[in-house]
Amino acid sequence: MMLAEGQDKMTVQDLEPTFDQSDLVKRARDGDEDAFGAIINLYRHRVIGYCYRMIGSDAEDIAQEIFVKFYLALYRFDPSRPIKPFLFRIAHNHCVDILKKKTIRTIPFSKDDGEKQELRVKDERPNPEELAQKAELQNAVNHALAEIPVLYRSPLIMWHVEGIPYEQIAKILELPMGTVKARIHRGRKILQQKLMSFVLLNGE
Amino acid sequence: MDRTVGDAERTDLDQHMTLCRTCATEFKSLQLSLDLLISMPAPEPCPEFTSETVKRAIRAKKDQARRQKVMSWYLSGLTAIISALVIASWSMIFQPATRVVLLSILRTLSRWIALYNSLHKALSVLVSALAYLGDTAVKVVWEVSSPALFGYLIALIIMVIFITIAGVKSSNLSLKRR
Repeated sequence: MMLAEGQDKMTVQDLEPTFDQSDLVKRARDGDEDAFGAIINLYRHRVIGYCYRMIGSDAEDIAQEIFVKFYLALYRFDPSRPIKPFLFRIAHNHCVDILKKKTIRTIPFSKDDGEKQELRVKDERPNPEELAQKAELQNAVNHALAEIPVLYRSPLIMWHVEGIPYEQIAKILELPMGTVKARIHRGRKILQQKLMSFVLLNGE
Repeated sequence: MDRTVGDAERTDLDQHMTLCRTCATEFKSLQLSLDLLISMPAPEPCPEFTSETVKRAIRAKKDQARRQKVMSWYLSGLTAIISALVIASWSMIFQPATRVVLLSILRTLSRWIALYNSLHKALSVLVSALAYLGDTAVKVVWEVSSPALFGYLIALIIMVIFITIAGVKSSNLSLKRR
């Protein structure tokens, strides 16, 4: 059960920040740029990651648009509630809107772009063969994600990558919890089917 | 995987998977595909991705909204002015002097319309009479005239066409000579 342990580690890592965020929200709402900057610093990685997995390309620009929407919606946000579900609700709606316009999810990088991506993620320089292999794997995951319908993709990412609990996903997506669980399960199965060849290679 | 399994259930599942190869393979493949998804690196935010950049985007959006608001105010003002002008001109119509002029224009117009109607009636009577006469003439020609007369008429038409074509050609030639 080594993998299950990894899963637990991810859950712990993805917990909400321990300090009280209500003050931060109140200050940001009153126009305190430092407070708003702190919120951005806290969530920008997650929002970019979510957009990247949902849309594929232009994740940073889309994340910026989400933060703009978040700022403009701050006045109707109850500071006593956690920021993450509210932010992810905006992110989800924004991504769905973009996907509706696009009709297809773009595949963000070719082999070369993948290399650049990897270099930006890690400072250490792996050998070209390893790099190419990783880029190929990323491409495969990206293609697999692109083939998962949005209604399964979004809860799958929220649950497995962002570590958002079922109850919060149900609130974000305005769905019953049973439906959320069913969609995550369906999304998992589609992902498994799409990545079967890679999984078989890695499993051997 | 669902993070809802208790320790006891997990132990049971582990034990089951050591015995059941199908379940173990399925679990492993599912877990590996999820690992690929989780380990997929997302792009690092660029250093410019700060509150200042977002604020700038917000300012741009607010400016755009303000411009739209100004434009909508401008349009509504324009509409109000046009409506005021229309209402003013409409109320001017009901002034006594304007009313006299308007009534005389209307009277002249009605006279013209009456004249037009009577002319139209006279013309329609004429047209129907001509049509009746024309019908009768065709019937008379068709019934009374012999086929020779009919052929003569056709020959006459053809001759007229030829003469016209020849005339056009000669005029073209004279133009070229000049």
